[in-house]
Amino acid sequence: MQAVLIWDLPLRLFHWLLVLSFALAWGSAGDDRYLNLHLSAGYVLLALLLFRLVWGIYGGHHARFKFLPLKIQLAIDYAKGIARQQTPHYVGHNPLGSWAVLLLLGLLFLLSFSGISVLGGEERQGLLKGWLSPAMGDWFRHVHLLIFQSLQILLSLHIIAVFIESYLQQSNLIKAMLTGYKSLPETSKASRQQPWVAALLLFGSISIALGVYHQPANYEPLPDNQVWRAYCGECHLAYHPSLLPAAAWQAMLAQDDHFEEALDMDEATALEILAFLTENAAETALTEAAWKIKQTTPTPAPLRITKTPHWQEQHQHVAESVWQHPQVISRSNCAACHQDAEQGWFQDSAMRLPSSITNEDS
Amino acid sequence: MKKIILTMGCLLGLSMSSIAAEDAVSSLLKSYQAEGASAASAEQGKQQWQQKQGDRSCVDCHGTDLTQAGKHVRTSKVIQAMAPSVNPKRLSDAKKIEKWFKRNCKWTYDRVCSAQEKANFLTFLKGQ
Repeated sequence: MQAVLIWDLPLRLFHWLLVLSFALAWGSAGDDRYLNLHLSAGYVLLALLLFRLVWGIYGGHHARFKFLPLKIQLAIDYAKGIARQQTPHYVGHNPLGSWAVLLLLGLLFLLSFSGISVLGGEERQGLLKGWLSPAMGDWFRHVHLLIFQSLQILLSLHIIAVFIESYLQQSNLIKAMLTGYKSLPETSKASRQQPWVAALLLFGSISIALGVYHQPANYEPLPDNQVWRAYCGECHLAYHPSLLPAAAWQAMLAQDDHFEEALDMDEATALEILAFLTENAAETALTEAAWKIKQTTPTPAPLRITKTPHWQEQHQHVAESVWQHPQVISRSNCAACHQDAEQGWFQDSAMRLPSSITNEDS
Repeated sequence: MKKIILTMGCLLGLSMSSIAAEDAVSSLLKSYQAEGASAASAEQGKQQWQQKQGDRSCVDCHGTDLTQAGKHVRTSKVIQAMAPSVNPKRLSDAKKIEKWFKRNCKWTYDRVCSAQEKANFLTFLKGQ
């Protein structure tokens, strides 16, 4: 028996980078402020998976998929062996482990693709931007979560299995995945380290991570109108028409009293602005915000955007002290935290609390 | 030669823009006089600007230093500096001046401003 290199450097690097990126993606999930981190981890994860596919075809011996013991009979025999606490010896992955590897990789691929779909449908960003509606984006969000939950179970089993296997084989499998070496008969086929491939993998992963993280969000301009922007943006942010249903805009412009101020619009201006507002109202579902407002706002719609159920739900955890803060002052001051408020997008990734504010509720 | 032409051109341009400002303001001042206002006073204008009527004054949104940008007291929207000396577009359009008098007097004082008040305001503002 001697130390034989089984897991080459690229494979080990792949494995641990996968763990890291999965952990980062998990930790940054669900919180809009960390979307860039979540995407960056997710894209690295996808890149790692693609690398594994290639490496599984062209890589070192023990990394190749064709040498995985995948025959069903072998898997059944191995399961029986575990029950008897006496398993046949496999140099690389055992049959059950091999199936687990494929299942894990497959689910991780699905996780990445569903994530990109959420990004494209809900955020209108990324590879699938423009291909999916917010409704589809929302459906993929459920899929994404479901796959994640399946992975949580599978990964727990994976970790338990590593310990069981280590015990059954009297071999530290975690150490093996770190150093690459297992104590085996001299005749076992060894892998080569292949450090250059590993270096390339590391470099590639870091580049993707940093590139995605620092990429500014790519907005397509929403419908705009000079008269509307000039007139409606005089006293407050020009709230994009997609933020209220068309009926609300009609009601708002039908009266001169505009939240205790005088609208004071001449007829030509009023006609042009009303046309722009109703043509681009929430019913168009141009953004995730528009779609959600359209889905959840009752009729008759409130005239205040801050009274819509969607707005209230999104801001329910914002402490009162934040609204009173001198840099915010009012719930109507969207631009205080939403960097893309002027454009009308209200994307998750463009939201930042001003640095001088802490939100005690969150 | 080039320098002289350039300088003359600049002076002409500058004087034209101040003439434009003069045009809007002076034509409005004439119309206020026609409505019954007596001689306008910049000092009075300044007092009006700073005085609270009810619980609001012009200062609330425009600030006390008119060479600085102000902030809408309800929405926090940035309001460009009122002083024509730093913001040449101010007081250059008679229609705009009248529109904002109508709107802002209503919101700040809950009434229309008189011709005298408007004359005083303009005389004060054009010197800022």
